[in-house]
Order: sequence, then C-alpha cells, then structure tokens
Amino acid sequence: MTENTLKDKDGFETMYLNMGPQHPSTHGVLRLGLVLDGEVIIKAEPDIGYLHRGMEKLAESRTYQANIAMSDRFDYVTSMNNNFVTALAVEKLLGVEIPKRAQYLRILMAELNRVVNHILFFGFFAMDLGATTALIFGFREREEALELFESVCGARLTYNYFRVGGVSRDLPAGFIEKAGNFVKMMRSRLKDYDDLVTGNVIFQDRSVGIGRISKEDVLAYSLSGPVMRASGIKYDIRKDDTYSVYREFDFEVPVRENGDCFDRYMMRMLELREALKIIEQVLIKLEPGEILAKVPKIIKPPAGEAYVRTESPKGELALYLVSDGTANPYRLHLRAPSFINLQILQKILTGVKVADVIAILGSIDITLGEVDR
Amino acid sequence: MNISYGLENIWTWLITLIDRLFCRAGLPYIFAYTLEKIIFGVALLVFISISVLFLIWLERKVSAHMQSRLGPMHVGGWHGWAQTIADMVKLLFKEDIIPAKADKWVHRIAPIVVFVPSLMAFLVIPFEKNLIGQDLNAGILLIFAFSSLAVLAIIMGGWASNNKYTLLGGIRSAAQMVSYEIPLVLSVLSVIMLVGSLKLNDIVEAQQGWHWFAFTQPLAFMLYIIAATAEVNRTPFDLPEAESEIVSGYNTEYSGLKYGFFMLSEFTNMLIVALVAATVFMGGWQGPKWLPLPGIIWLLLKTYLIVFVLMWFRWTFPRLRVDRLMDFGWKVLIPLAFVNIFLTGLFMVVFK
Amino acid sequence: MNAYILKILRGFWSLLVGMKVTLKYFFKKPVTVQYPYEKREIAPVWRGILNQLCDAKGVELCDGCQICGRICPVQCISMEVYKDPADNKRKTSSYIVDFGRCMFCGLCVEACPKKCLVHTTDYVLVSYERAGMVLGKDKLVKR
Repeated sequence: MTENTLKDKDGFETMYLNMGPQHPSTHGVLRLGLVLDGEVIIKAEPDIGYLHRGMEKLAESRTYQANIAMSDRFDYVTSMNNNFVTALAVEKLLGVEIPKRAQYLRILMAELNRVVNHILFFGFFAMDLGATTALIFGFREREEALELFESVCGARLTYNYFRVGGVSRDLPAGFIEKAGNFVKMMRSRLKDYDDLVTGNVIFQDRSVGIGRISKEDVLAYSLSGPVMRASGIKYDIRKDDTYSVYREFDFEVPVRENGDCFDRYMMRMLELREALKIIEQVLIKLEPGEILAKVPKIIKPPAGEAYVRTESPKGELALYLVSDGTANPYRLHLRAPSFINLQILQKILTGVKVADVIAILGSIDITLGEVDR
Repeated sequence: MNISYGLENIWTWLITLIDRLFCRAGLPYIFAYTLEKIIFGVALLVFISISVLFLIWLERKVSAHMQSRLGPMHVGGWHGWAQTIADMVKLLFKEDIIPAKADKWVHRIAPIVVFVPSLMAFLVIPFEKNLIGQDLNAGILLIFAFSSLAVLAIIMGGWASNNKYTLLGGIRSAAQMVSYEIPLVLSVLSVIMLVGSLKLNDIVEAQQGWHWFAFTQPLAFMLYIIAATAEVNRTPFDLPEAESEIVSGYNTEYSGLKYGFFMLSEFTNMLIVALVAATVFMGGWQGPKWLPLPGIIWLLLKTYLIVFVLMWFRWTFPRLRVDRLMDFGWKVLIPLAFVNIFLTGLFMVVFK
Repeated sequence: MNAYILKILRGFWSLLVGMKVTLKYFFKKPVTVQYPYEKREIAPVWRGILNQLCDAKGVELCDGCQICGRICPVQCISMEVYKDPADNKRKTSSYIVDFGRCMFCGLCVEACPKKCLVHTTDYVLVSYERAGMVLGKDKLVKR
C-alpha cells in the first residue's frame, strides 16, 4: 500500500509510515505499515515473509537426523527447544525409550536455553525502550551460558545437540560445577537487572498499561507462553500436558493479571528464576548412565503421524510430523509460537503511539526466523 | 578576587601588546579590537573542536566501561585516543547524499544553522575573569536565546529530508525543546534573583568561596540538569533521535560532513549546558584558595563532572514517551521551578 | 498532593538506584577480550573446520566409504574414490569440503566409521572469493 486514503477523526490527511523491514528494532525483517495521525496509530498492518526459507518443504527432502540439525534454524535463539520438539516427534513415531540421563540432559539444555532466551528478551526489550546498557548486560550473561553450551556440544548458536533417542555428547568434566556457578551468578545479576530496569520509573512509565491483551483475546487468538500467562491464564505445557520428565521437577508456573507490556516483561523475569530452579534440580539429580538409546543408523519410522507439544520460551512450540515409512518425513509442520503470538499485533497496535509500537512488539518477543520459517 | 595566574594574564598581555602596536602604527583602535576578537574566536573554535573530539571519545569510553567493555582501544595507541579523529576523517571522505525529493537548499544549510548558535553561546562564557569573548550585560540571556535557535535547524533538517522518520524527529524536537526551554530559564531565574545581574561574571563572583548555588539552590540545580538534558536531546529525553523508534530521527538522511556537523553541534550543546551549569551553579572559574590552579582548569573540571553525569544518565535510563515527556515538563518541572522561584523570593523578602 | 510528591520522590529514588548499578560496573573490570590480540579459549569439543587424520606412518585412514558425504544435510562433502592396486584397498584421490555450504552440524564426524574425520578448533574461514572456502585434501589431511 503506497497510496493512503484513510482520514483521521477530524477529516485530515494521515501519514503512512513504512516501519521495516529495515528498521533497528523490528527484531529482524518484520514490516509494519502504520497509518499515523500525528504520533497516534490509526491502523497497523504487519507484513511478514521476508525471511521465508521454506523450511517445512526443505524438511521433506532431509533425513530425520538432518531435520534436527535444521530445526536449530527455526528460532535461532532457542535452538535447544527446537531440537527438543523435533527429537520428541521422531521418537514418538519410532516409539523408543529414552535413557534417564539423556532425559535429564535434555531438560537441562532446554531450560538453559530458556534462560538465554529470557536474558536476551530482557536486553532487547530494554533496548527497544532506549536503555542501551541493559542490552549489553544481557549479552554479557548470555555469553556465559553460550560458553556452557559450547563446552558441551561445540557450537554457540546452532547446537544440533539432540539425537533421535538421546543426546549427542555427554557433559564434559567440571560442567556441573560451572553450571552451578552460572546459576548463582545469574541470581545475583538478576538483582542488578531489577535495579537497572524493572524498578526504573521511566521503564514502568513506558510499559505499565501499554498494549493490554485481554483474557478473551488470548483465547480467541490462541496466544501461548508468557504472553498468555501475563493475561492471567495459568497454563504451562510442562505442567498441564507434561512431556519428557518434567513432572519430576518442582517449579512454579508464574502468572500475572494485567496482560500489559510490564506484565509480559515480568513473566519472563519470573520464568527465568523458575528455569534457574529447574537447572539446579537437574544438576543435583544427574546420575551417570547411557545418553543415547539404541536406534538404527538410518531412521525409518513406521508410517503414521505424530503431534508433539512443548513449552518453548516463546510459547507453545508444536510439531506435526507425518511419516510414510521412508527415511525422510512426508510432511513436517511447525506450530511456531512467534508466528501465532504475532497475530494479535494488528489488534493491539490501534490507538497507541509510535514509541509504544516498539514496546509492544518487543514485549511479545518474536524471532522472525520462526515467524517466517 | 584577584587571581594573578592563569591563562588570562597571557591574554591581557597579548591584548596590551596588540593595542600598543596598533597605537604606534597610528591605526584606529577598532582595528586592534577586531584583531583581538578574531584571535579569540579562532582560539575558541580550536578549543571547541578539540573538546568535541575528546567528548566523543569520552562518551564511548564511559559507555563502554559502564557496560563492562573497553571501548575503542586500537587507534592511536593509548586507549584508542585517536579514534574520533579517524572517525572524523572517515566522515570527511564519505559521499554526501541528498535525497532525490529533498528540499535541497534547506537540506544543505540546516547543518550550518545548527552549528552557528551553539558556537555563539560560547562568546559570553567567562573561562576566567578576563578571558571572555564579550562580558555582556545580558550574558545568560544570550546563551538561552541562542541555544533555543538550535531547534530551528533540527526542524529544517527534519523537514527538508522529505522522510517520514526525519519529519517525526523534527516535530518531536520542536515540541520538546519549546517546552523544556521554560523550566531551563526558570531554574536559572532564581539564581539571577539572588545575584541581581544577568552578567555571568557577576554570577560567578557571587559564589565566592564555597557558596555555590548548587548548594544554596539545590532544587534549581536539579531542575537545570534535567531540563538541560532535554535541551541537548540526550537520553532519557532523546526522542528527536530515538534510535529504536524513528531510526535516527532528524538526521536520518544526512551523511558525511553534514552528519558530522549535526554530531558536532550535539556535543557542543552538551558542552555549553555543562559550562553554564558549572558557571551558574558551581562557582565557575573559582577554585579553593589553597590550590592555586588557573581558573580555566577549575572551570573545565567542573564542566566535565557535569558532562560525566549527563553521560551517566544516557547509559542508564530508558527513553520517555512523547506524551509523558510533555507531562513531565509541564506538570512536574515547571510547577517545581515556580515553587523554587516563590521560595527564593520569600527568602529574599524575609531575610533582607 | 502528598501522593504526588511521594510519587516524584519515589521515581527519583528508582533512577538513583539504576545509576548506582551502572556506576558499580563503571569501576569493575571489563569482560571483553581484545579480539585480534587476545583470543578466548575455545572448548576442545568445538565444531570447527574438518580435518582428516592419518595413522602413525602418515598414511590416510580414510577408506572412501562415502558415508560422510551421504549423511551431510547440505551435501558439502564430495570425494573421488579409486582402488589402489598396490594393497587392493579403497582410497580417495580427492576429498573436497565446501565450507561455504557447511553448517558445522557435526553429523559427518559422528557417522565416520573409521573415526578419521574430526573437527578442529580452527574457526577462521576468510577468503576473497567463494572458491577459497572450498578446501581440498592438501588443507584437510593432517599428517
């Protein structure tokens, strides 16, 4: 849309602002067409697809193991969680039993990745509101977590750690100690985060009451994850439709009532603490044992379909996998939480200011890699 | 207060020398006067450009250390001191782009218009008692008058670039600067009431010893710092160039030397508000008697303290939203400034 | 009126608390490293550029079974195989990895039956043209 025919309430001309795909804070290549009346948005048109890589189609020409490697790239911030859901789906088709240690390692990595995602969210959200230092603080702590990942699987972003039937490598010597130190360090840093950002009056001014999503809207748009729980719906797949061995761990599902930007931010900060709690429990429970179940070299699941839901840091990450008995999947479909959470944007952007657009977009926490796939 | 050391002695000696030379040559005094002012102006320009280069480097260093980084470390050897010089050279060689549908002349002259008023304000700042461009009767008023002109250039740049982001930045800046001029002037007003003069040297001399107005007028000082932060468009009031919202605000479409001028004026403005704060609230060129340093050193020390505080603000706070900015300016700062003026007046009447 | 003043004071206090944090880190040691001069330690399991191992005598262990090439998700490994008449064994005459395509997933290393394909901790892959990213036996075989 280049010609703008919308008029504001007094009948004056409006301005069409093309925010993105190249914009410092649309978190990638999201394009927002905004019809502005001064600084107030009359209409917003999110436009996605600039990062479409056709991953669901690509998956059909790859083996199951290669698909796990590719799943790193769905949402490149939470690679471990993507690995998790892909591995779970293939295992459901195969019907293999996973060794206990592998289960624990999977949860350890998934929760560590949740911490990484939420730290990064903290940094980017504060950056969107103009607090530059918070971003660097976030990256500084993320670096420590990435070093943990690196020492386990040899990569810092695209881990490709999960295997069908377990995980690829065991923990190196001294990992448990290092991870324990990380948890401790993270707890003390969270206090700094709260002092620097959460309690800050300007930050609260910018986020409290902005971009409110009602309970009804959450259900109508099938939002999930922290966005949903910030609006007062207590639902976590790790608890309510549990998978892997999550039921062995003791953690809370935090929930907040208002559903505004500040609550969505607080949700992540609370979840971060819960994730740290789970990591600590895993580190205590870990026992030596097998890390990979006996699976054939070339994985050919029997014909059939599987649908697996997991709780990724961004929301409900689910995978629908159809096998026709060959080495490649017949169909792979991803229920990407970023993509579905993004759909509410058009509704809540109406009537807010330009600065709030960035705050709301940041608080929903999307990764364009997952939105466009 | 007689300070018999420092730069001003050299300056008075130079003036006398020029006066005598011109007198002996039989030329009218006006020529000598003009030459003196030209020398002073050139010296001022050199001072400003060196300060700005240093300020940019300082900004990067302060931000880096606050963020557990080191900042530029390579260029020039010691802690990357030549980094900004290298950056300026890079800016000089960059292509000068004027957008196809821009208002070309306005687009061209905006960077000049933005720099001239920030330069003019230096004229009346007393670096030492006699080291001053022109000790005007209405010195402080002149500074505020010129610094409010900067908004014109920002609107020019924002409008002429013919880009929606720059337009938003320009309009935001207009609204912000107009509403923050008021608390800025009002906060200084209470000091002027106490001194009874608009002359900056009088204000400085009223603060002899440790009777800084920062201590006797703490509220005014705070209001001044806040309003000054808004006046020079720095976080938390950097809405005209809010990077995460409107890309780079009014200077989005500028490149090369013109962008350099915008940056130069931004840091010059920061220097001015810090100099004014040091002069009006922190005793200016006066230092403690037991440490006989030249007055200009004291002034610059105080100035850089304020500059550091401004940088500290910038790297700590998020940005205000545009309507909350107006709320804060009109509903908090201006009433407080009036309260302060009222209290000062009451104090003056009661304890006269 | 009281609430108004209290709100302002509380706001200022929260700002001061934030400023304390940045000042604290201002005096702390930086965490960054100055990259070209100092390099951070890389985990020994790092999935870097591939290498082929040889036995003690300097003879290549690879027997050209093609498994790495087949398992590669992006088909970046290619080789030419011949049968050496001297000892009647399969050998590779060329072994080329296109690191412009490689995504360092490590599946080839895991699949290698001879365990002769390994990752190194080398991560520098800079070249002026794409052909420079395609490494052959001369670069990959570690004798």
